[in-house]
Amino acid sequence: MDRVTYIRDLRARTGPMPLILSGAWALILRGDEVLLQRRGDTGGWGTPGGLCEPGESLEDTLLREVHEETGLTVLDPLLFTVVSGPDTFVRLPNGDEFYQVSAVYVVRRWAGVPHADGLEGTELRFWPLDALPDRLGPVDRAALAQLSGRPSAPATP
Amino acid sequence: MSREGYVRDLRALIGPRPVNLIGVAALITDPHGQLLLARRVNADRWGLIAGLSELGEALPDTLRREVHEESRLIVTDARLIDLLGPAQLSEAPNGDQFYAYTAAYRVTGWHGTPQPDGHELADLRFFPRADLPHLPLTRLGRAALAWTA
Repeated sequence: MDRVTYIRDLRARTGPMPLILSGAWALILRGDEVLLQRRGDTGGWGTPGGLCEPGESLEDTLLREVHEETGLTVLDPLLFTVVSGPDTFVRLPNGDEFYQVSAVYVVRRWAGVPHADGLEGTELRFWPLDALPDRLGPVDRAALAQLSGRPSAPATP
Repeated sequence: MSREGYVRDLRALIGPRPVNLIGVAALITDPHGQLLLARRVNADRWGLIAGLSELGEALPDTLRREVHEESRLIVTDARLIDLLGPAQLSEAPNGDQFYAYTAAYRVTGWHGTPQPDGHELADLRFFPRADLPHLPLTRLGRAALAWTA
């Protein structure tokens, strides 16, 4: 059962009610820069990563999602933080609601050259940590603030 | 599972089919370095105080709530030490199937006297670490051995 089937089957029964979904995201770091992808659905920028398939380990989720979205093979991920709680709430354009429990890994070694998949992500670019794009999602914002040693700033509209 | 509103609501809609569930486990030691182990009602193995997150609840809040509900202890400080993915598909006594994702915290500040709640936990005791290899342990109990090695 793949992830799309898992979430779709779950939603067929739960409807749009809020769920708690686990996932893994990568802070792929090159010096003082982090790799972000422009999302195909919202046009905003975010870190590569995604939700766990049923029973999938967080590291396997990380490796699979990063490979799917960037073509990169993650070599030694280090668990950096876990982001959870009310600020992680998302309402998708289709009305589905969920809270995230997101394992965020720091990745400093990888194999391959970043290449956007053209579906979930339309562009990949390294951004300076002190000059990040606007409209980052709540998990990215919290994790990147923690990386820079700053308290997580509230969302900017 | 008396207080788990989210899981109860979810199960009312999805039945017993497998689902990913997320929770916490608490590694608590006393000033002598002894480890607090918990034995659930109708279980013979020892593990850690643990429980599932409610909707929109941050994991550190789940930790404080579950520790207080199950042991009456007050957590004042804790840090994340590990994030365990599911070892296999688990099944609750009622047949509900799930995969457990568990954020393990080392509780570095707490006060109170541990008292098992009697509903979820039958017994709650501090054990010298050297006794652990001789006890029947759950997966989290075995993980506690590794975290304190």
